[in-house]
Amino acid sequence: MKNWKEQLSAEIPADWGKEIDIFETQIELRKLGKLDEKIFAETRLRRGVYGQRYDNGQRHDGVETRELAYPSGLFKGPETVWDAPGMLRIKIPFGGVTPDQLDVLAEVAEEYSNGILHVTTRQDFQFHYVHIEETPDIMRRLAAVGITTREACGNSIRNITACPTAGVCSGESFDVTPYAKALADFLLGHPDCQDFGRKVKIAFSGCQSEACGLVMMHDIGAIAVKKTLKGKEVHGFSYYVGGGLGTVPYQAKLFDSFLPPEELLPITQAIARVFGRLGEKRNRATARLKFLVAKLGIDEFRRLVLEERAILPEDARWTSFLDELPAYGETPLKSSVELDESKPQPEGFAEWYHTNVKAQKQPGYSVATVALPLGDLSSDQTRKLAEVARKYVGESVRTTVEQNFVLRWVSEADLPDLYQDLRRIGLSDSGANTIVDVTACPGTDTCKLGISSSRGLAEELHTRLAEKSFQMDEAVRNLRIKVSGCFNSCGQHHVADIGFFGNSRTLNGYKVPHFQVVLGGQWKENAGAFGMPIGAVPSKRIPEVVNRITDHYVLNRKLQESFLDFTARIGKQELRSLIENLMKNAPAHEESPEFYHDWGDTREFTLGDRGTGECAGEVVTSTEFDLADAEREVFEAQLELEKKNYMLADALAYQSMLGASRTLIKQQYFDVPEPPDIVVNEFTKRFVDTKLFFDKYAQGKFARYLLNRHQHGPVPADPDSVHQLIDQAQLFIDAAHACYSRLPENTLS
Amino acid sequence: MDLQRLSIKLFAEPNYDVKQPEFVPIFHSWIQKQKIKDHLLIDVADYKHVPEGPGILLVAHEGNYSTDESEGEPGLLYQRKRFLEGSLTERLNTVLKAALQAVELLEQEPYLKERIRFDRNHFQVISNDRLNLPNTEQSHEFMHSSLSEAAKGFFCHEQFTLTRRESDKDRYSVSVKSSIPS
Repeated sequence: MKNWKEQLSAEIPADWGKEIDIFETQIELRKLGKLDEKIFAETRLRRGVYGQRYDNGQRHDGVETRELAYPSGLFKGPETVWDAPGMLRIKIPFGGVTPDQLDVLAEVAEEYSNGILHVTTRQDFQFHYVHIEETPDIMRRLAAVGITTREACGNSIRNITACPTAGVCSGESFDVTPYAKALADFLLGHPDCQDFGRKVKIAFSGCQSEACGLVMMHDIGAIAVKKTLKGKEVHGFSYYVGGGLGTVPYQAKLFDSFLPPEELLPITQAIARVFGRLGEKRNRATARLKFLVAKLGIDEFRRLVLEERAILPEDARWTSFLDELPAYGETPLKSSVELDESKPQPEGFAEWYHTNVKAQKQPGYSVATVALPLGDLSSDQTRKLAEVARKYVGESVRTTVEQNFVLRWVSEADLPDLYQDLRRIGLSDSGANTIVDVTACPGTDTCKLGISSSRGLAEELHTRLAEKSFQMDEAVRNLRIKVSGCFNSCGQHHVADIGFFGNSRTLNGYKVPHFQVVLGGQWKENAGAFGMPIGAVPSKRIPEVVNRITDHYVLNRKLQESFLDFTARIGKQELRSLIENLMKNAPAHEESPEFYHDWGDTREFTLGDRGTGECAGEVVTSTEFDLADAEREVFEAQLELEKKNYMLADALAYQSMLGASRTLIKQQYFDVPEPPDIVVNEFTKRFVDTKLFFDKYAQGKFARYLLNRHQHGPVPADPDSVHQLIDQAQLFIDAAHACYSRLPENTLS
Repeated sequence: MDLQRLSIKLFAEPNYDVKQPEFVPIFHSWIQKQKIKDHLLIDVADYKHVPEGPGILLVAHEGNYSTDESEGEPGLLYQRKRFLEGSLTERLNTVLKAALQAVELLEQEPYLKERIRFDRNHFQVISNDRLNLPNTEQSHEFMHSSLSEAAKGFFCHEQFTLTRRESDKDRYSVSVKSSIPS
């Protein structure tokens, strides 16, 4: 029998090959019980080998939670069964992928996964349902064509993303591609990047105003800028740090308004050192770079980084890539020929051209977006897409954070033929970069953390919106919808025009999948503003939420008013009133059982078998009322934030957390007094120390939101700090709902 | 040669009249009852949005089942993932049996009755191992006798054809067709 290790040894870079060999040995050591499962877990994560839903060996099958009796009895991490199917994430720096790489990705997906390539919201690929013991061979096959999974997950430098139109966009200052590549190469496996408490995400953008790079929501971000020095144009970067989404989003802070290219690598290295040394390690919930920057303040953080930079040992790689810059560039495969619009065009071409094609800055060339439903395509489609790329653009293919591909350098005269070829392989969907092109994280389909079905909802919205896209108002058509299956923001819901993140509520004695409706986010300006939740709505009513909000916008907007400006003008109170009745009045379970299922899933959503009495359909407990009161308070906090009443907003957010915690305490101690010290003490004793409040994966993170606010007093009276506290309060209340649904029926003492 | 990752596709008959979402509750119910022998059924994944893709996937530890629509030919694909024992013929028999078990269950589903039948005169064998069994004539020669044995057992006669798919980018794949109509 041949094996891939011998077969590809000459084609794999030596250091990558050695890394994969080491990982293969670690797999064997773990199987022999000679490597601790926690250490092995982080080891595999740093190779992109991730867990997947149900890998704890349990699954609720719609009737009850049952054990999945995997045969080996081994574990690949805490509560992570060895044999359970897992996910492999594949890093694609700046989204750049060649047809030859696509061929190999297609083969690997077919042979070891399920024949599906999934494009993520950070330009990566993911394979699902992969067995861990096959991952070394997958890595070798990918490494042989220049692709690595190293540091695709874990506490490391993740994939470095960049605008997919870098180098061809008319609005950019300059092409950021070679810089993104140089930084990715430099940081991969760098010794200074091996001791982080959490991951670090880096992004590049060619301009300030567009969305593509999403710099403001990244740990580290670089925006291309030019200036004139002594009559000569010079390139540099507006360099940002400390942004991030996650449960509570932070806007990045300006570190340097003009970082010279020769400082890009060393400054990033110095940040890695400072983060590795001073970043939180024990508490994952506060371990991202954004927390360190917030804690130190940007000025002190900058001072420490510059101090570190001054003592870094010189490294030739800092500037060696600069020598190659003048030679860098893409050579178009075809000559530029303008589109002959007098010729008859294929059916559907006009719509596709309108939404999926963007002119390049190079005359006669265009970028064509290949829209992927839910970011998925089959191995067969991938191979055929590689052939299409070879025919029209050569190697100029990139993935996008909107889970699509772009083909760059398409000669405009070729566009009708390209469209026809894409249509033959089922990849000619129009509506790219519009409201139809809904982005979603994997959610409950495969993610261990998913609460609601983000993909199910995204597919439903896509289908409904596509049906009416032809008569859609142009202002609505240009909106973005993004869906996350939980509060962790992998679907980037904070930066969408209309965002959703999954949670659940107990209605009529049953758990019901819900989504928080998030408004006020800004996709453009590199994710320039983050939205806030205005209310949780049952999943099955979310399409109606979209209808109501978009209809209200069309009917009531002022001339040329953007959706962001419109939502800011009318305010959250009016927006919430549009959806308020959708948040209540659930139909009886007997009448509409499907209301209690998630999208695309016919199982009962309830995770535990919380029995229901005959009258349960009409019973609303005082607890549910009290939690609803807490939600009202946090919403009122948002309204005060809108009015810039920061201190009042802070007090309301704090009060909402106290109210929610008191509601829980009343389950055990009905007459709990109201003074905050007593509430917090009782909450700590009954729900924190006992871990009753703990989320399975987030652990005590949400409880700490209340404890920190109680201990430290009001947050600074500025919009960012109050915004973050309100986000925390909303998550605390969501966690209180989840905690309440987990409590045994009879805990009153 | 220790060939492991073998797949079998059984094709739906032309009067097939089932929409992909209809398989979702069926596969969930199979998981509840663990209906496929020698398989640990785990989860259901929905890929109906991918044209000519895997359709609805029933994930099992030993191998995945999918209501595959590749090349516009609907059918039931069984993709073996875990270890197969025995000779090559025995391994082919194991995967054929696993695929057959699922199509029989589908045909017996009360909800689908009369709307789905699978062709017992035709199946496809795919090897998910391009390294050891590339899609070449040499591989086909190597597989011929084991495939013939397995086909003989499946059709209960010896009149059938084995046709290899030609494209070199495809996995080794053989269409096995009975020459005697059932």
